[in-house]
Amino acid sequence: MTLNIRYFASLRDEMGRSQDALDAAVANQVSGIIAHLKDRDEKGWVLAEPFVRIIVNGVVAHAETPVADGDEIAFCPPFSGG
Amino acid sequence: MSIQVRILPEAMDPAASLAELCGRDSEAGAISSFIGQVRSGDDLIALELEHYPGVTEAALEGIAQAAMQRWSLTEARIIHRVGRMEVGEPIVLVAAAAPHRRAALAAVEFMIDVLKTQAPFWKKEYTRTGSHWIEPRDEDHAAAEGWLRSTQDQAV
Repeated sequence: MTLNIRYFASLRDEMGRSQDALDAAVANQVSGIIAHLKDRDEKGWVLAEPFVRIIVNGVVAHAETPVADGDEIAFCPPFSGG
Repeated sequence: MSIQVRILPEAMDPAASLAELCGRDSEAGAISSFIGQVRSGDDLIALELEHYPGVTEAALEGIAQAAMQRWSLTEARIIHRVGRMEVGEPIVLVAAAAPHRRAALAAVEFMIDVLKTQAPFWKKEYTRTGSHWIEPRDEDHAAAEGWLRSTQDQAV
């Protein structure tokens, strides 16, 4: 029963790790994950910054997007390709 | 009618990729391309590109598919490097083949403008004094939003 959290680029540097595995009971939507990580981790506040883009199972998501066991939730800084 | 999207962890050869496109499709009267490469300046030594495996490829396919439909292309191609690149190395190749030149030229502009801010890539600059992540510029956002407003396309 796990939510698979991934952090990319500058957010990975801020969090000090590339991923977390959270108990699926901690949240039923993205905002609950952010609240949990803000409580648990002194750097968790960066995940609530307005520039952060959230991708759930490969699809653009937002704070109210539902999450469930086995989902992959990625926190991404702004994209800069090309 | 085909789409090719590739993420390359090692050096790319844009000339070879373009040579493959030329002469392949008798319906294509025009082939247009854009090559982005690492530019010197500000003590830059190298760039490092990171992506989100699986999700980035899907975003690029979405962008190429949107271009295929909007401009009736015969082929769309996006090849993007990841990993570390020195000054002068190619970062990205975008190419489009179409019956006529205006479609091929516009499609290339669309694909590079949109991928810069809508596909999950992150760029880090290495200089003599350290390294830092690059934020997209306001003009990059404006270029992508201009196309997306007109098409309602959403890459990912």
